[in-house]
Amino acid sequence: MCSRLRWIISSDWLRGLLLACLLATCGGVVATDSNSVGTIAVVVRSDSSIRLMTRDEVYAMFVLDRRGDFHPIDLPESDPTRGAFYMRLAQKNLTMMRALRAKLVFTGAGRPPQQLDMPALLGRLAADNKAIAYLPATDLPSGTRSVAILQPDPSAP
Amino acid sequence: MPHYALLFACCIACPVTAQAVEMSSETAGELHLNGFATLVATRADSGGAADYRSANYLSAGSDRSREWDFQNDSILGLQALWTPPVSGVTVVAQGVLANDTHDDFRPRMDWLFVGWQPSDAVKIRAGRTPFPAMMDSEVRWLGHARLTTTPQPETYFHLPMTSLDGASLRWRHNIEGGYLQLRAGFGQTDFDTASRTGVSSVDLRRVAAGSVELGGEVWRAYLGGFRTQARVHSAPLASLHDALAALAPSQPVAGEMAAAYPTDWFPVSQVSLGFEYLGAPWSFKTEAVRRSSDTLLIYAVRGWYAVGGYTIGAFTPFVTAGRQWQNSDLSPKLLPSGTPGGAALSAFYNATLIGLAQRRIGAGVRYDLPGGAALKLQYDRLKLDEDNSRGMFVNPQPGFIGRTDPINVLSLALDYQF
Repeated sequence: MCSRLRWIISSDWLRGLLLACLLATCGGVVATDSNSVGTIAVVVRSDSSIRLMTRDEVYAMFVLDRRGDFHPIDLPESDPTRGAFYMRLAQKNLTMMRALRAKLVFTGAGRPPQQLDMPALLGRLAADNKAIAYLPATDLPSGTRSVAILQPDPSAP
Repeated sequence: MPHYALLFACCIACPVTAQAVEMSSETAGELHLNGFATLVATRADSGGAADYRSANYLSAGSDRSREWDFQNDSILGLQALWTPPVSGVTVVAQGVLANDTHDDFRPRMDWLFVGWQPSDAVKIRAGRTPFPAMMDSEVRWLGHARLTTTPQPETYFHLPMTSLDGASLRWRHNIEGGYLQLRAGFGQTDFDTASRTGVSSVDLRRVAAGSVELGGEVWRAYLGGFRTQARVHSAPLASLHDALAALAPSQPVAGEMAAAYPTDWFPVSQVSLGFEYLGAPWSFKTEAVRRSSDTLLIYAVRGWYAVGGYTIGAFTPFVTAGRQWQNSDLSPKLLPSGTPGGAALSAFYNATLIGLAQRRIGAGVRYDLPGGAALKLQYDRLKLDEDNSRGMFVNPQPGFIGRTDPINVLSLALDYQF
């Protein structure tokens, strides 16, 4: 066992990489407790042609890229609302969503929603009646309306 | 500068500089540029007796041994997706820089196809399209699409091609809470690959592939397969075939031995089964493959793997296992004594009977970094299963084939996509 351990740690390169991994843990993807984010609303501009959406329709637009002529928008991965949104919508954490997005993009099947931080997202919602995004339901800006709601799931991990 | 060093530099630079590019105009449509990069470092404690080759393209063994191998599965890929202003039409070009059969980093145009999607249900692709051979054939390059550092060897190691020059049809039907997807593809391809006598070139013609996939929100089940006519060009094996065929009229066993190395076309078929579950925090995937071939130019093989993980924040620890066998008859054969040249021909034939039976258990962790990068660390313990097996190793030194001691493999990967 000792010789195996020596073999594993015998490389300076490996030690360096493990140290880098350790340091990198300080900046890992934000882990989200899905239920720490309250109700999430899928929102559009008030004059959007979308009236209401089912959960399946939201799934198709944000996960499967069946967007039609609408413009779905993602928050950054570091925003806990994003993690909670996909956990409730698709039972996928950020690692799984990255895998799904990789498959979507690199099979030529589609593209992920555009990613904007919160100020840019609010600006885009105000300017584009084809834009569709998700926000904490308690925080909806004026001039927008909710077309679907995703409630916290008490049974979610 | 070595190619892998260039790739490493790209990997480091990517998170800093690269980002997806989107351009659009009313007359030219939309253009999306995306990329992915994976740097994998692998180390196997074979004691210098053989070189571990887990590569997407099995290296024939350039006689280059590397203590830490950066070339095995490191890859850089760029994709352009053009959506012209024509309803339902897309054009996809995907180029990759990866280690090839000759153990060199070389660029290759992996995909170049026109897609037409007349409805949500139907999509047709023509050109150099993904080879729809197994559950993850289309995403085997993508580090982000898996937990492990490299594609699972027990299934993908045996398929050293990723694209098909031809056409494919996909039909997808949404059913309550899930979907049913059918795929069919037809085409041809050719490639170089490793053989037991050096590099061989392989032609595949009349490849007909099909698959059925049934899925729900967090799971999918897959059944697929293909059938093709294959021809292998290998000068040493063609010489062996011709010499044995000349003896066949007087020595029936020579005819049997010659039939194992045909110089003409022969059929190969494969079926595979797969299942995946992705319901946070658990993930699980398993796949099994069975390839049938009556020759020793392309082995009949079986293999399976399973990998399961549990995500805690940005970390996903996982365990994995797999096993592979050759189904081909590798029993030694001898020409009768007194046959002219019989001893040398028998020795040559029997020297080619090198198997690949192997079992593997492993564990690792994937760590997702901000900005589209992921780090992975994986440990595997390999065991050659039969006396004639070299497993996934090349350049075996005397005594390695059939080695009974397990071999530890450590691999680290940095994945990035934009």
